[in-house]
Amino acid sequence: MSTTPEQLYNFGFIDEDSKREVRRQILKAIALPGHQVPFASRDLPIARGWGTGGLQITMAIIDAGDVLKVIDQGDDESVNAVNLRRLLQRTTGVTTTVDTTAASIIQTRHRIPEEPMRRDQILVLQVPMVDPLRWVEPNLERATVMHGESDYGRMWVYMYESVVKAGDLRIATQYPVIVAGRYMMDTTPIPRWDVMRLHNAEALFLFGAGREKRIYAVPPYTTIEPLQFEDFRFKTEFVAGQICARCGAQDTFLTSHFVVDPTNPAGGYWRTSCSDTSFCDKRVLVNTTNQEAPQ
Amino acid sequence: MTTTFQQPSLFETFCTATFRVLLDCMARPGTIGQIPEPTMFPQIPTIAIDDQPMLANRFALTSCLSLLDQETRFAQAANNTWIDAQSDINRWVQLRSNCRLSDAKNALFVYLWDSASSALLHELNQGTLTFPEQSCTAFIAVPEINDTEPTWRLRGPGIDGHCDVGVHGVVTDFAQNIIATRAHFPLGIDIVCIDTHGKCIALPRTCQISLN
Repeated sequence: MSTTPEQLYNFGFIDEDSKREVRRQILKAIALPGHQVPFASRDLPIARGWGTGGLQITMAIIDAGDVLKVIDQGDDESVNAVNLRRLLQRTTGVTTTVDTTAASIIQTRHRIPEEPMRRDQILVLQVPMVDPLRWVEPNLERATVMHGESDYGRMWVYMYESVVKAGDLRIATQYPVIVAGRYMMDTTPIPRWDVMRLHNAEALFLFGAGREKRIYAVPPYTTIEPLQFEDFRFKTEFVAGQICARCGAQDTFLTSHFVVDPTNPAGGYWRTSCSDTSFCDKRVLVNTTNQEAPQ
Repeated sequence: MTTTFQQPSLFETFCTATFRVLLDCMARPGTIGQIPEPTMFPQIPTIAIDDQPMLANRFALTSCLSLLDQETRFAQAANNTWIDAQSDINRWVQLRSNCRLSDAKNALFVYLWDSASSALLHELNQGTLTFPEQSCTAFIAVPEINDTEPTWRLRGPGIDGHCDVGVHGVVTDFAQNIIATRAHFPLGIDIVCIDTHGKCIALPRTCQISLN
């Protein structure tokens, strides 16, 4: 009878020197809010561009006493979130949760949880593309010099051209912001709905890009100013009247999916629901409890 | 096949716990953190100042050590003088961290044994406009940090309005020496002050200091 072999890993998967590298660059990133700090990104058992930057940050900061939550587009149960959570759980043994309020570290792809985050929580964002200047300066070295010199004129021209061509600021996600009055930063593909939730927040935000080998950070109580014109202001995706079909929320970021009519395959409708599934589940539970309570 | 993980060693546990304290303090300048007791290093060599032995602040030296490896260059100073690379204390740090010993200009991390050595801060690398992250991080041992008798008022990212903190028993121009390291943001030195009880405050280069 064959026995099942055990695979022994370091606590948090990556080795201690890799952790130290990430830790040193995180401290520099916090001291330079919004500045992209290069780091030696390691190979991981997932493909680069699928969350390796965020994963390395989480692996470098996680402690045995942490409670971890991993979300993908606000969803705790999508394949990416489940796989990353499973890897971290198996190599650290930490407790995991789907409840935002119970977590001490939240790793996320493209959303900030709806429930306000506290000062004892850290949000780790996975970043696919780092530099907001790539649209106007594809050469990374020249873009780095432009950041150093606060040379953001071409980005303003890009914004202006967007208004001239499309009639409005047509940046859907990855909205560029100025952090603490100095560095221009890409907000990763978080929706515009979440951009201002980075502004003067209580929690610490760490951004990791594994493929592009960059770490950046927004400390708590730091100003975030989205790029906007006096006559073309920054707007969120809010559409009055749209509600979540599950919990009835009107003040959350909603996603939509198409529901096919079972009686008529050609028919159907678009259904909107909260992107943050854990928050939505909580509200559904409260609604159900209220309905069941004796009058 | 099952996936299991190795329990972290005493030193690894210390490094992670210390980093979380430094992370919190760096993100929230003026917040007083507590560095854990470095039990794995019961004996740290002393140095001689004017023929008198001087003890290291074990919390400050070991928390600096927790970030060092073969990629980093390290230097330390006491009594306003850089300590020789061949000295016992530098070899002690090098043997435990595998770091490279360096002169002040090229050091990525320095440990200053006393506040008087803060006069050497101007010699450290402040980075460049293109690569401001290549600047030095300084760990400074101070006699006492508290929030009950504030001496400094801090402002900047990470602070809701302002934050008052007391740093006691330091030389009179200590604050001025630190303020001078942040005159050319984004260039600058990031500083961590740790007292004899392991109480820690971080002063990233974004942090503006005014005297109370």
